[in-house]
This record gives sequence, structure tokens and C-alpha cells, in this order.
Amino acid sequence: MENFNDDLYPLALLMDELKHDDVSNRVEAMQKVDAIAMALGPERTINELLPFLNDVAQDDEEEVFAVLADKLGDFLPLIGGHENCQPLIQILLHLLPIEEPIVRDKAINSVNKLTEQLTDDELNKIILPIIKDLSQGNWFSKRIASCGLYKGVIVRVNAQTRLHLLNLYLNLIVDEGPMVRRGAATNLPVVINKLTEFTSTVDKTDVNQISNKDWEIISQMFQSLINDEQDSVKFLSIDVLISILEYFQKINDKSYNSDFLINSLKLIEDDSWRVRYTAADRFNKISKNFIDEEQDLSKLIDPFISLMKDNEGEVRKAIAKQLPDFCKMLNNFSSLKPSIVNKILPIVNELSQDPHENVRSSLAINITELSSILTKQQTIDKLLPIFLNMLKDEFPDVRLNIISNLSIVNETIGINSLSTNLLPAITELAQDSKWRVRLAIIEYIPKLADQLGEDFFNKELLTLCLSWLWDPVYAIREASVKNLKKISEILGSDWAEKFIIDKLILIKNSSTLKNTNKNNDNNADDTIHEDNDDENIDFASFIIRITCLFTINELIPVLNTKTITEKVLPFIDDLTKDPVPNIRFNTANSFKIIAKTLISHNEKDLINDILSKLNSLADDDDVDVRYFALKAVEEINQ
Amino acid sequence: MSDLHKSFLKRAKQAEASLGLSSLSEEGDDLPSPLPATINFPKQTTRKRDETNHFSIHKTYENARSSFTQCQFTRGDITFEVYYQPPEVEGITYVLNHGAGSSSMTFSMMAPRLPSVLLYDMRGHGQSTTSRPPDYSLDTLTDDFQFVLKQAREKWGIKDVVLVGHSLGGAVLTNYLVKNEDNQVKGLAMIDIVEETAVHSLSAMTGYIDKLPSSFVTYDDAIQWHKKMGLLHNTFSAQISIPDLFFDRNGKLYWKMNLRDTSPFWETWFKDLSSNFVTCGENVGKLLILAGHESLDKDLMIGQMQGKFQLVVLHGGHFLQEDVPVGVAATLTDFGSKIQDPEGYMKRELGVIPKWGGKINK
Amino acid sequence: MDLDTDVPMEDVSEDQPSYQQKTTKTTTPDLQKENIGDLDQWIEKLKNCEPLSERDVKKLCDMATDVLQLEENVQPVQVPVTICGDVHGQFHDLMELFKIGGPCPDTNYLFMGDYVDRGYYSVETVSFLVCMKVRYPKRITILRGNHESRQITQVYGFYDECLRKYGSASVWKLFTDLFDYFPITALVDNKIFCLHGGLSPMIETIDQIRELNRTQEVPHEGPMCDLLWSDPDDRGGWGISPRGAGFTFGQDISEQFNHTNDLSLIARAHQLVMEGYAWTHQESVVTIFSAPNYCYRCGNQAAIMEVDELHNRQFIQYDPSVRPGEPTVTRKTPDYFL
Repeated sequence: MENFNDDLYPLALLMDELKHDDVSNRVEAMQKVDAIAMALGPERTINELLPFLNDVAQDDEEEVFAVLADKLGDFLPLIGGHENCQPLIQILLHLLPIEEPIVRDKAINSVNKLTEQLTDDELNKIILPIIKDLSQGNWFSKRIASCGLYKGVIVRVNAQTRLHLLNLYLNLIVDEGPMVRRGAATNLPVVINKLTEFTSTVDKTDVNQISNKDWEIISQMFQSLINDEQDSVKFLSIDVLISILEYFQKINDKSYNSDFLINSLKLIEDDSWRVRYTAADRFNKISKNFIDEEQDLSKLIDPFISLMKDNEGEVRKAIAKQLPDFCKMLNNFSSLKPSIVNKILPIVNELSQDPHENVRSSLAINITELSSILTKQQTIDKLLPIFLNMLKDEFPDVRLNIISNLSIVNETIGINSLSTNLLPAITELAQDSKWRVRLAIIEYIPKLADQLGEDFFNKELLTLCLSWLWDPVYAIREASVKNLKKISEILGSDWAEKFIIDKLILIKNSSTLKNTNKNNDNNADDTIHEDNDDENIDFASFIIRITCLFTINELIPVLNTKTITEKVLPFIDDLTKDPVPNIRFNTANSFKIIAKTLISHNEKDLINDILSKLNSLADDDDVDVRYFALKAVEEINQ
Repeated sequence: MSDLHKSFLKRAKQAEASLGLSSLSEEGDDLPSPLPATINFPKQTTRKRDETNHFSIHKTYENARSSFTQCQFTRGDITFEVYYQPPEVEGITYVLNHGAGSSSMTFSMMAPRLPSVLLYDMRGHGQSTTSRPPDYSLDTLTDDFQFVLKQAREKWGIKDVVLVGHSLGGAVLTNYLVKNEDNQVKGLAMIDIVEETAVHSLSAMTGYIDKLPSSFVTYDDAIQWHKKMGLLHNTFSAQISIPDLFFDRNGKLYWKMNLRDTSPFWETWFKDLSSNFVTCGENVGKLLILAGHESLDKDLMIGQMQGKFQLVVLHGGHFLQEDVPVGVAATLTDFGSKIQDPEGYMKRELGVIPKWGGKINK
Repeated sequence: MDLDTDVPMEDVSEDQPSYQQKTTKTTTPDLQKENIGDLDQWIEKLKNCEPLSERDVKKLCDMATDVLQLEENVQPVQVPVTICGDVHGQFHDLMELFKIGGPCPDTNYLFMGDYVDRGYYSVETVSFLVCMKVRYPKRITILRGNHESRQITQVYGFYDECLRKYGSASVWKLFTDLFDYFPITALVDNKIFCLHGGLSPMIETIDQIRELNRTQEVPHEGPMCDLLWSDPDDRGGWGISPRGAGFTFGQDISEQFNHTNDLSLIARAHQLVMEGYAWTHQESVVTIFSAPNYCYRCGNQAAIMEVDELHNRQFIQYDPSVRPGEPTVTRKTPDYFL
């Protein structure tokens, strides 16, 4: 390296690092290769750096190759543009056939990136021969690599070349190596999608327009894939089918529909569950191509049901997700509508009791959407019982998914009839042992309050809402506080004063000297306390005090000035002398919120009063109390 | 995805290594054939032996064997080769059990560093014979062990023992403790074997066996091959352990052990190994020595995090006892003296005489 | 533990009075405003599980050294406080812990060590806890666990994670140097003795712990090692620990220690317990473990223990966090997707 002059110092440095014994140093150095190229300028990059990288690409570890392969994709600007692409491609050619898929994929990606920037002429001269060579390579890895390159060129060549390329691709689809076939099958949908896009950009009469000859080859490919002996190849044919269907949808040609339908049905009923799984997972992508013909669509109902009854749990899980959208398609035809209730819903009922919890959980996410296509009565008669059952499911995710998606059911049957049916379940779930289930219920409450009205709410839900404040899990207490604020916004300041603030003051006053040292160790669990009567809400407990304070802080903005001055301020004032610093610094926050609320009411005296209280907190022994008090003062003064 | 893939490959490689295998293919079961040879070893047919070197290795090997008290125990139609190294003063004996496709001589570098050792070749391995048809099920191997231990105890009056098993050998010893109450077993140590990785690796085993060269010309070729495959790193040790794996016919070295014969029994080998290791043997001290890095499975992880055994990770390949014999021996002697005489160990090694709190548990 | 590292091991010399003795009552000066700004910014960043830059880690560790070196070997802690066990780099589960117990500083916390190793986010986890410690020194106490050590972290992942995330070992060096300053035990309101591992045959009274020189790598043996490594055992008396470091101690030992030191309870972590917490020795010792589904595979619950001003104790158990973007239904992943 002695003969490098100063200008080449960075390159020398890089080359040193690239020869480091430790592969992580070499990887790191390679990450910076673009910066080096920039420093060198195009000419020297081509003359000095690229030859060096060309050597590296033939003798290093895969980790280094991966970075190099990745970096080269963005190298064209660094070597003065596409006309100089040759040496870059040369380096990538070393990397493309490497067996490590990470390196190969990055190299493929980079070649495709470069190809995009080449002229058609360059593409024909440089890229096409590479694709041909690799496709006919004697080593499987070369052929796999070639599969990823067709999508970059297929719509940029003339009709004759295209046909030639498709024939080459066909050879890959029927290759003796399953990994090659898999690579070809994986990339085929993208190739077809490119052709689909192309048809709409080119005039129908254009000589290069996609022709039946092209489609004959693609059809051969598809036929070969759906008959592949390896199910790990075969399942890929489903995405190919979808792409083909989308093409014919696009050109509005329905003449092949019945053929495709037969093929679809064949795949849906395949012996291999991997294939059925993929078919179930993409079911609506397939079926949406048959929605114009009632008869076609009707043929999909029984296969749909058979997937719902599949003996493989993963398949049932996948098809459960497709349920609402498929039913929506059926709903468009009056003749097919009855099948939803008569044929599909009974199986939905079965699925809701599936032995696999993941199937039930997957069903629970989507099932509520069905209510939007059923009548109110059907929903009440057929769906609600299923929901209620699933709300009692032993697997918490099932319960959670149903609750979280209930609002859509409101629209069909109205909140009243939903809540009467659901209230018992809600009360039960409010004590669920999993806190996220309790949380989902809490988040659902304001919606109910809004629609049920104050009386009904006070009677049925208020106790429940207050009980959540004393939950052992902080996230539930926090949600409960926010919940009370939302309800107060709906039911008003007077309601909040009467039913919450007064209640908290009562707790504070009633439990002054209860110093019974009761140990809760043994009944500790992630559950609600059995007895959440006011008697047991002990203000002597830190968590109770701070929760009361949090509740009040949250409610202040929705309270009127009178309540704030007469009830809230004295409450907080007492807590400024609390023995626990955490309570004291939270009162600073209370004062800040009150002041902000009062400023808009122009209550200058009160604000000065608050500031003096904050100033005495700013002399507290505890550093955090001082900090939050000063911060509050600062914010109020602003 | 790439990290995931990398770690997957890494795991698979470890998995193979735990059986003494080495990864050849990166993409598993469906590589198109024919495969070009990834490893180039010399073509045997065209080469003649370098006799001097070959026989000097053979000498080293024979010397190592004869440094032990040798003996054969016969059980039915099988004769076991047994090696014993008596203690200088009365003390604990380390019973060392090798893994599949290996032999007692894998411990030859380590044995002199332990106070007293008992070694034997598993059936079909090393100098031991095997039955027809071969039976390599875990229970049979365990019965063999039980037999050899009993005979050795009678012959040499061995009392307290620490069982040390490498790879499959560890599974045999664990199974022994699951099935037998043996108060004289004070400790159980396993070297580089984890159930999850071992089971995982079985799927790659057939492919590995298919690619084994059928013969070598010289010991040195065989040693070089093992080194190239990353199986062994210590040439000194290899010169003793490798010759024990081959027999010489017409100037060529063939494998004594046909691993293919073991395939019907693979399923029995590692089943429940981890949970058994953690729970077997009341008051038996446990030690797990792993090569390279920690790769515990669920049961071992829970066991370790509950303080049920000691885990030591040493730098080296799968055959740790060959690559780092000093480190493994030191770990074992420390382990042995600790469990044999806790109070003495505290006083001697830790310099601790409890200031309070009474007795010290045995 | 048998590693070929060449970390200098200083044996604890007991006749040498530790400097903490003289500085115990020194209070940490209030934080500078700019430092508060930095810390608040770092905390926000870390909450999103984004690691700090190496430069910021350096700044953080410098600040943390100032705070931690003033703490005592037996750091006094006030009630109410929430006591937590092992976290082990399970960052998302640590965030879950704060959802369960409430955010710091509103809730006071005492962590009993083992923040790093095994989980995928040791860097973020320890950075976050140290940030909180510096930002709110009175609200959170972080003790040292046996994994807060140079040697252990090289085997169980923290070292590798630092290399992976920073490209060099310098962040690992910064943190492991900082670990030497972590207090080794805490005493909650003079009644609950908290530490990572357990008791030592060399330590009969809490005052003896105050005598130790703790600012060193966790030694292979000796009292400091024992406090971080020992486990309670069903058998009485002392025993050699199967772990290879520390000891096992029986109920007689725990009861005697509690009596001698006028304690109501020993709270410790270090052992995985399937329910997240477990009583031993007839409620004289409790084990708390706060890494749910340890190492993403053990299937255990986690727990924390809330102690209020009246010394009421409440355990709250919790499950692993639900992580966005990760499928919750992967128990039977079809292999061909890999």
C-alpha cells in the first residue's frame, strides 16, 4: 500500500479495513464503500475501486458479500451514469450465483435497480445475455438467481424476445431442482403483473402488445405449477392464479372464467394442507374475480364451507378471516343471500367453539362485521348468542377481540338492544382476570353512557366504573380515570361533582384513622378485589390517595369554577402535606391544571393563591417536589 | 429476515455439531443433485502412504492406550474395552462416556489431568464389539454402561464416582440415573449436549452420513479431514482419538463404526434429556459444559434459572475434551471436589469457615 | 463462569474501611437544567426502544457514576415502593411492568438486579433504567445482579448485543464499568432486606455488608459474590450452590438473619419462579421474578410486589406484553414459511 498517495488515503484505509482479520471490521468498512466512491470521483472509482471490489467479490465472507451486493445497486451515480455500468454488473455477476439467499437476493435486487436506469439498448446488450446465461446455468444457484431478473426486463423487450424469455422461464418452472421451481414460481406473479400493467399502457394494435402466444406459455407454467409434486412449490401457484385472474379482469375477458374456476376449486380442495392454507388465506382475492356471475360465485360456497371445516387448524384460522368479505360478496345476489344464514352461519357457530384457541381468536376479530349484512333480527337471533358465548371463552384473546369490535354491531341492532343483551356479560368481563380484557371493556363504556343516558348509566354502570379506580393494575386505574372524564364530558359537571368528586371526598374523610395492618399477600392475583365496597377503600393507602388525586386532576377541566374552588382546592390543599413525596409533587401538577382552567375564567386572586402554595412546595425537602413545583410555577407564569 | 435466516443457519450448524456432525449444505433437504464436493480430500486411489508419518501416529496412539490399565468385560456376545486409571490416593473416580461415532480415546488428553478415570468403548465403537443385528437404543446403551460400571466396581473397588458424558454419552448417563438409584454417584456432568439442538440435528444426520468419505489412506488424511470439517482442532489429541475410529485393510483406513446402523435408534437418544438431566438423581450435583456459547433449551433454561445445575461455557469445538482438555479437566476436578466434600471444599478452596449458621450440607 | 477473561479480581479486604462510610449522608446535588433536558429526551427515545448513541451513553454513565457512588452498600429505601426482580433485556416486558405498577416517578421502584443478558434488548433496558435512576434518584433504586458483571455478560448476550448495536465493545465497557458502582443491597424502611441473590456465611449482620468495598467486578467468591449468587434451599444450614457460585441457605439461616437484624422479610430475585413470585422459608424469604415468559420460551408469569406505608404487601402478576406487529397466533407456525 506504500505507493498510494495522500488522495488515495481513504481507499488505502478502506482496503486495510477490508483485509482486517475480523469479519465485522470488513463488514463495517464495506458499509462505507459508497462514501469512499464519492470521495474518489467517478473515474477513479471505475479505475481503482471497482477492480478492487471485483476481487473482494470473489474472495470473502458472505456477510461482506451481502453488504457489497446491496451497496452496488446505488452505485450508478457514483460512476458517472449508466453508460459505465459494465464493471458494476461484472461484480454483481460474481455475487448472483452465491448460494446464501441473503447475498443472492441483494444482488438480484441491485441488478434490477441498475437495469431500471439502463437504456433499452443497454438492457438488450448487457442484461439479456446475463439472464439467458444464468437461466441455463449448470449450477442451481445461478438458475435461482435468474428467476428474480425477468421482472426487470419482461416489458422492455420486443414481442419476439419476450416470447423467447417466457420460454426460458418455462424451463425454470419445470426445472429438476425444487428450489429453482420455487424461485420461479415465487417471481412469476410479479412478472404477470408487469404484463398486466403493460397491456394498459400500450395501444391494442401495438405490435408488441401481449398476445395469445405469451399466454399459452404462461398457461403452461401455471398448469405445471398446480401439478407440481412438491407442495412447497404447488402452493405458490395460488398467487400465480390470482395474478392471471387479475389480468383477465383487467382486459375484461371472461371467456376463461370457467377454466379458472375449476383450477381454483382444485387448489382449494388440494390434499396438501399447505396448499389449502394458502388458498384459504387468499380466498377473497380469488373469489372477487368471480363476483360478476352469480353462478360462478355460488360454486365457491361449498368449498368455502369445506375450508371452514378443514381438519387443519391453520386452515380454519385463515378462512375465518375471510368470512365477512366473502359473505358481503354473496350478499349482492338475492339468490345467494339465504346461504349466509342457512349454510354459513351454522358453521360459524361451530368455529366459535373450535378446539384451537387461535381459530376462535381469529374468528373473533372479524365475526362482528357480519352484523352489517344481516338484519337486526337475524343479528339478535343468530349472531348475538355466538358473541355472548365467545365473550365467555377461556382464551382471553377471544374475549378481547369480540369486545374490541362490538361497536359495529351497534349500527345494526341499536345500542339499547345490544346493551340489554350484553350487560350481564360486561359486568362479568369487568372482573376478568386478564387486565387487557378489562381495559377493552372500559374503553367501550363511554359509548354506552352516551347512548344509554344518565339514569340508565347511574343505575347499571356507575358502580362498575368507580370500582375500576381501585384495580390492582395501574393501566386499568389510568383507563378508568380517563373513562370517568369522558363520561363527565357527556353527563356534565354537576354529574361529575355529585357522583365522583363527592364520592372521593367521602373516601378521604371516612377513612382517616384506619391503621389496621392487614396483609393482602395471599389473595394477591391479577384480579379485582372481591370486596370493593367503600369500606375497604382506605385513604391511608398510598395507591388510593394518588388515584384519587389523578382522578381529580383529570376531571378539573370539565368541572365548573365553583366546584373547583369549594371542593377540589381544599382536597388538594390537604394533600400538599402528605407524607409521601410522590403525592406532594402530583399536587403541583393539580395546581397547574387548576390554574390553567381558571386563567380562562379570569380568576386572578385564586391564581395568586395557587402560586403561593406552589412556592411553598418549591421549598420542599424532596428534590422532585421542588422540581415539579417550580416547573408548575414556570408554566403558569407563561 | 436476514438476521433470522443467519441465526437459523447458525442454529442448524450448532445442531449438527452437537452430534459431532458438520454442516455441508446451507439450504437443507432439497438441494438439487448432483452436488459438487464442498470438501476436497485427497483421492485415495492414486496416492501411496507416507509410511513413517502414518506409523508414528499409530505409535502415539498405542502408547496412549497402554498408559491405562486395560481390561475387557464380556456381556453376552459383546466384549467391552475398558481402561482404568487408578487414583494415587483414595478419592473420586471420573467415569467418562464418549458419544456416537467417537471412542474412549477422545478423553485421552484429559484423563491424565483427573485423579482417577474409568473409560470404556461403547458397543461397536473403538475396541468394543457389537451385536448382530446391532442395537443402539438408549436403554441398551444404558444397560451396557450399568454392566461395565458394576464390573469395574467389583474389579477395582471403585466407590464414589462422577459421571461425565460427552454428547450421546451424556444422554446415556442421565438415563442411567433416571433408572437407577445409585448413592455412590455424586455428580453428573454433560459435555456439549442440549436436547433441543440434538433433536434438531437428527434431521441433518442422514445427509451428513451420506457425505462421509468411505475411507482414507493415512491417519494424517483422516486427521486433516476432521480438522477441515471443524470437528477437531487439537492435532495432538487427534493423533490419539482418530486412529481409534478406523481399521486398516489393504493399506486403507475404513470406519469401524457405521453410523447408519444407529439411525433406527435416534428417536430414543435424546427424548426428555433436558428435563431428565435437571430432575434425575437426588442429591447428585449437576454440571453442563457447553462449547462456544450458551444454547440452552426451555427445560435447561428453567433449570439453570432455578439454580439446579452449574453451567460452564468454554471456547472450543464440539469435542471440548480434546480441544481444551486442561479447561474441561479443571472444571471437572473443581466440580468433583466441591460435591464430594463441601465443607472441606469451602475451607480449602474458598477459605470460608461460616461465621454463623451451623452445619454444611453434604 | 469459568471464562478466559483477564479481568482483575480484587479480593474483598475486610479490614479496610470503605469510603462510603464517610459519605453516606451526602445528598446528591440537584440536577442541572441541561442535564434534565438531555435525560428527558433520552427517556422518550428509549421508551420507543431506540438505543442511545455511544456519546450519549458516555454522558449518561458519567452522570450515573456521580449518583451511584454516593449510594450505600445497603441503600435505605422509603415506603411506599414497588419491588421488582430480574428483567433480562426484555424491554417490552419492562414497559409492561410500568403499565402494571404505574409510571416512575409517580410510583417508586426498587429493582433487584439482572437487567441485561438473554433478552434481545439489554442495551435499551439498562439504558432506560439508568436514565430513570439519574433523572429521579429518589424515586428508583437499582441494585446489582450477578449478570451486572463483565464476565457473565460475555457469555449470556449483553456483550454481543453491544457489539451488534454499536459496532464495538465501548458501550459494553461503559456500562460494565458503571455496574461496579451499583449498590448491592437495599433496606426498605429498616424491615425488608432486598438483594439479588441471598445470604452469605460470611455475613451475619447488615452492618457487615456496609463494611464491604463494593466498587469492583463481582468476585468469584466471598461475601459480595454470595449476596448476588446465593439461593434459599429446602435443606437447612448452608450448602454449596449447584450454580457454582454463592451458597444455598436453609430456613434456619433466614430466620436467624431476620431475627438478628430485626427484619420482617428478605426479598430477592435471581431464580425463575413460574408464578412470578414464591414464598420460601415460611414467609421469611420471597423470590420475585419480573421477566414473563423468560427468554421468550419458559412460559412463566412475572410479578412485582407493592409495599405501602403500612407495610401491606400486594403481589401483582402479569404476562408478556403484546407486541405490535408481532402475530399473537404463532403457536403453530408452518415450517415452510421460514
